[in-house]
Amino acid sequence: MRRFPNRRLAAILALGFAPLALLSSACAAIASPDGWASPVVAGELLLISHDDELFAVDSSTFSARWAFPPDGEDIDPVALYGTPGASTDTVFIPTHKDTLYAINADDGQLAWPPFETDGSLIGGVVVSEDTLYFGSNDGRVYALDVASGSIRWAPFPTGEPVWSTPALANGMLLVTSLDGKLYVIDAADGRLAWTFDTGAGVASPPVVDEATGQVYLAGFDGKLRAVDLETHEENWSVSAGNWFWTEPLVSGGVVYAGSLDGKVYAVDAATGDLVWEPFDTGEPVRSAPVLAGESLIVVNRAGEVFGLDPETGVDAFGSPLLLSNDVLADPLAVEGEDGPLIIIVTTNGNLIQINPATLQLVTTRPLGG
Amino acid sequence: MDLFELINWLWTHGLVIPMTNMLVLLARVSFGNFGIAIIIFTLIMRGATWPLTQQQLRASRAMQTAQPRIQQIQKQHKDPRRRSEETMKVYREAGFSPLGCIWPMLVQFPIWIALYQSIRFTLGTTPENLLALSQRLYPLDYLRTAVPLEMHFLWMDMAQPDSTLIMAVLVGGSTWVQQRMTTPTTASADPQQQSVNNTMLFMMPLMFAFFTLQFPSGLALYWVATNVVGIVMQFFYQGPSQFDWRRIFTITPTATAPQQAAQEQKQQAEAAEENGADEKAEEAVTASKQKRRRRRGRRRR
Repeated sequence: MRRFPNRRLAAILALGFAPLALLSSACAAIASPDGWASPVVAGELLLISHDDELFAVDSSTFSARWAFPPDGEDIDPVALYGTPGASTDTVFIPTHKDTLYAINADDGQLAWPPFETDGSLIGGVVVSEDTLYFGSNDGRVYALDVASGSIRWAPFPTGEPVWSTPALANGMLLVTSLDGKLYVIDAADGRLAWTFDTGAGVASPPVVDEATGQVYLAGFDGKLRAVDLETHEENWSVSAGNWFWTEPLVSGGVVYAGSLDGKVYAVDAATGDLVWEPFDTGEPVRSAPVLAGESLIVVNRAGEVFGLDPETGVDAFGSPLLLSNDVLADPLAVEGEDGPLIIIVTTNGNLIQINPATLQLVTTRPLGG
Repeated sequence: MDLFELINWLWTHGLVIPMTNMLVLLARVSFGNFGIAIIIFTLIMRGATWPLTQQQLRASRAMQTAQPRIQQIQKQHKDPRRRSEETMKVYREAGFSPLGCIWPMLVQFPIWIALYQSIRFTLGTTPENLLALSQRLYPLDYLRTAVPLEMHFLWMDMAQPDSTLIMAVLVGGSTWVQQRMTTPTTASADPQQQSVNNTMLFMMPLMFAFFTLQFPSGLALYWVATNVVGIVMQFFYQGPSQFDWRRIFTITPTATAPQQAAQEQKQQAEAAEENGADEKAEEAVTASKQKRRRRRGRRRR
């Protein structure tokens, strides 16, 4: 007697919950904020981030010094994307949870109270002698006193979120915004000097080349541009098959930049001509290229490490070194005891050291382990 | 490529990527406003799935029409098999197939989920989302330079949950109204089913309202837009003259099962009383006739 109603009840409930189950499976398919802050050297420390943690290790011995968030502090950074900045005794950590933390480089404790903005901090921090600068997802650029964290000048508003690390050059602060503009601000008082509109979002940091008097902008319109710092006009541009989301590297009169189309571009800084045919890595390149020894090291999202001849763009090792996991953070070139080393942090939290001369793995160690 | 990879490829390239590109395109043509793009996109998608919706509405109406007869069957037949047979017979006569009601919904689920994924990808709430979006856009400058999109619409940031609770109320309210419109006008005679119906009627809107507090308001806008379109479709399909809005906003269905049972008991009691009175009257008439016959007999003698 009871079988039929129970079956019907089960069917009705199943039908009701089916969309919810599908909805939750759809949620799982969407990426959550994981962070991709790049490793950076700050004095004697090597700052390495993964997910929502930052580890300060000795830059020569790799022994652990401290970790962020500090023990006993109720801090949830959610994720770390921006490259930390550092003064002589303080490390500045931008977090996805809208807040910038100032940490004592010696003991990893808070140097001054956390500074909150109205948006996530995706870009990194740049530090001058006494002021630190960073942009926020709230669309503003902040300037704080290094020693106290007090505001130096009223936050500068851009039209859209700022996801890139500002650059300092000749007393000017250069900031790119997702509104597509480059803002050149007086670093001392926060006044706007001039702007340049690319017409599409820019999430890559601007790179100033004092040798040519240009600033390079790599944007979501798939263009790498050179803008003259004197005339504020575009000197040249190179088009890629997808967005640029990496910091361009300038060396020896050549601008190197990876694109999400999977290619690496080498452009003559003076003329804008391609130095060699774009090198195709086969997967999007989010990480900035670095020069180490004789090689231009390029890492794509799939974790393939290529060693290119910077002059010809030829794969110097014939095949890439395949890492265990994806890579979105920039690699870091450091000088090791036995010569140059490349440090890479994978998305699953492995700290990897590579010898750029041989493109061989030196060590792999899990962060926090 | 195994079966799972094939399904995944078809899902991504057949549904999610085209929808994502269409959303970005609509945002571009609506002056970069993602809120307007979501509303236009919802209208287009509801229009494209109209044949399925129509089938569902037709089935729902047929079920509502057959409801009084179903209730009668449930009262008349105690044997479940017999009851089931009679119910199916009524369904057949009304031109209603239970499957005909379910499969359009099942077909629409993947479309909704793909749409949901597309909106979340397009919102680009995290750098990872935006990075994923870069790989899903077709190689057209018109689309690629449209990103990131303008996220502010009315009082909301489309990428953030709405802190004002307005969207939660709108989502919950519109879900409830839409559900209420498709609920049978008369209560089920089966108390268990009636209980499930009542629970679903309130649980789903509450759950969606709760989701709204957690998810980006762009998704909430989609839910509200799709619910409003659904309500309008139902209204015009049923016919404005046939529609009784008072029924929608009457929280208690026309008659609940216990109320019906009580009514039936009352009616039976009244009938029994009437029967009893008639019997007594008849008895009295018979007795008086018998007395009269006896009196006539005595006189003749």
